[in-house]
Amino acid sequence: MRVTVKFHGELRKYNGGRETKQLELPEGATVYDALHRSGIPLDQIALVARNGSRVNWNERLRDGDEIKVFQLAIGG
Amino acid sequence: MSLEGRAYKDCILRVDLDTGRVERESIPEEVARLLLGGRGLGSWLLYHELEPGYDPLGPRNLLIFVTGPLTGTMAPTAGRVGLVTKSPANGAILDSYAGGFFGETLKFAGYDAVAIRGVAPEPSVLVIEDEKVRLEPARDLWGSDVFDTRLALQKRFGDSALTAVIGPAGERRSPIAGIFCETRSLARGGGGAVMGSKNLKAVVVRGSGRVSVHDPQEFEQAVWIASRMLRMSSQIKRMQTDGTVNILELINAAGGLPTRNFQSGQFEAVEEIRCEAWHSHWRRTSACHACPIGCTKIAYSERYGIWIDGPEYETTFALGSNTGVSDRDAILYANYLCDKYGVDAISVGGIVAFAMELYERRFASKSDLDGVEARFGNPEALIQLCEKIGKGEGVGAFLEKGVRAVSRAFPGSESFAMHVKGLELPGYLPRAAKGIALSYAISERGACHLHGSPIIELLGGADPLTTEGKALLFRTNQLDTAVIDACILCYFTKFGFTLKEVHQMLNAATGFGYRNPREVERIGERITNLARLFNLREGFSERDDTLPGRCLREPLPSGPAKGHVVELDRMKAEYYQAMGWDEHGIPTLRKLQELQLDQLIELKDLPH
Repeated sequence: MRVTVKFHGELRKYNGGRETKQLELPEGATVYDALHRSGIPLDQIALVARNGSRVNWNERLRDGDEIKVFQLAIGG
Repeated sequence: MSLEGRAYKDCILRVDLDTGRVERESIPEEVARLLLGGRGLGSWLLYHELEPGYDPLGPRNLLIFVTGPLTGTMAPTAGRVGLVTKSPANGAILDSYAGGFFGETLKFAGYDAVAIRGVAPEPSVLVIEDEKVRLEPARDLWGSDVFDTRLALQKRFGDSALTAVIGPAGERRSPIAGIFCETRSLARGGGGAVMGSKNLKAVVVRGSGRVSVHDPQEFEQAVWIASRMLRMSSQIKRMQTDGTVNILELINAAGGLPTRNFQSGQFEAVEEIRCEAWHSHWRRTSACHACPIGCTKIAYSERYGIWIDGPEYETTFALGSNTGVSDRDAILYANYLCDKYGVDAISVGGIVAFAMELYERRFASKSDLDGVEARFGNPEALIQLCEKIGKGEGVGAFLEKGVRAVSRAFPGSESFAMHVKGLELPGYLPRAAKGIALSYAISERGACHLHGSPIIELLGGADPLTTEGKALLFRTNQLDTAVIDACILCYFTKFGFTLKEVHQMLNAATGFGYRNPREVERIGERITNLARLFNLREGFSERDDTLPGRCLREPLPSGPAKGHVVELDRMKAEYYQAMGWDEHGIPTLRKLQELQLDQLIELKDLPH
């Protein structure tokens, strides 16, 4: 299945400065599998959203899902 | 040994506007050692000198501008100014802070605090030029907006003079009026109304001194370490490129972005107001005194031809998602109107959102709202209501009293009147973040995100939906923040360095010889207890440590926190216990003695 990974802010440096990466993953792959393949050091990740909402890393992905990986952030 | 030369100026300036008399006094060493300065010193002065139950808009309320021991030094972010007074929004203790350069200039002029009381016989400007202090008539400025007033003062006093001004809202004594220090503001809680009640249009400061520290070499080293830690933080870097609004999309993904008067936590038009979308409006960046962060963005709206600092995360939520408006130019213009008339944008956004829900649910008719089509998502309605509130015209004169007062006129609307202790809620959805919810319920000045809200909950730092451990998480944040506000440093430094670095800087600067960071944290605990005592003395009780009914009883309809309400009682009980208070939230005598508060205030005054 095909999954789109979007890199937030400074995390784009792990994707050659680009925001989006397409991943081909086996059926049954989880969010964690996608993160593992994305090349982002896991300790740099604050939160992962699937199709706009926070998701647990052990959840299974579906074909066509969009994963957005957010870096540690502050603001307010 | 005097405090002078040990990061302090050892001078509280007292101004009596009734008589025009000015006095100076030293800070008792014990007060400085136990409470530092800033919020600590201001709270101590207010606690001591304001009679309980006194009208916040009466002449004897004190308007106290404070600096801290680190203000004006090279400690990172140490240019801020604080304000402490009794809030006209709710009668609670109010402290508020603003960046920029006003704070350092006040310190350079020679003051740790300026405590103003009385009422000037005519509209006036307080001019502080080093040791020269005088009142000047300002009848010509009364009625001017914040921008015009600032320009007129710059013309009159020169560019090197820094100003803190009120707009028409402050003159009207609106409980949502702020005090504007250049482009920064002491916005929350109605400090501008207290200033207006004193016939004081502005404070103008020019300072030519410097701040000396106890051990310059050690201080330089401590500052170097703290600055380096700030610069190295990837989170801080993000603030430089994308401002405080950088977190908006993340908060939305976590289901915590208040939308349509806190009905839900995800905004369908988030793409329109997330940080990437603001880049087309941002023209420049800027930084406050001694700040390596530099989070300020300066935006331009071509449609309206206006410049504005921001928008910040808070203003984007308040005037954007919470009103359902995604039109960026309209949000910028609404923000501009708030600054122009001198009102707090968080409160204004909360009031507009409340009016919109009243309208949509037919509590209020179109004619109740001066013909404004107050539907969620209507940018014209947002602008019209901001203009009316800012000017205090038509329905604006009613709305500017705040969500709590407006709600009283519409029985049945209490559960969605989004305020705590009369202060409108800031930008994190309580049902989606339980620790933040607790902080909103407890905070002394009313719903507040800057007195220890564990915002990291929504940023991946903790599970936001559990109540487990949240009392302690909030307490730790609350005490840290109280120290930061007593130093005075910027809240964002917490994300670069810890109390360990603050401890090193404070010891080098003051020579107080605090043994460890824990002893510094104690200062925060002392200040938090002092604020609690002030509110208890004013008649606040555990019943006021609550949240709007919507947060407690309406399960969230959608998003990652779907089905959640805030289980407040359990967290509250845990928090009181963690603070060493009794089950009613009253600090025990033992706790107060342990904190040495008996050395600072009369224990016989205590509520029991």
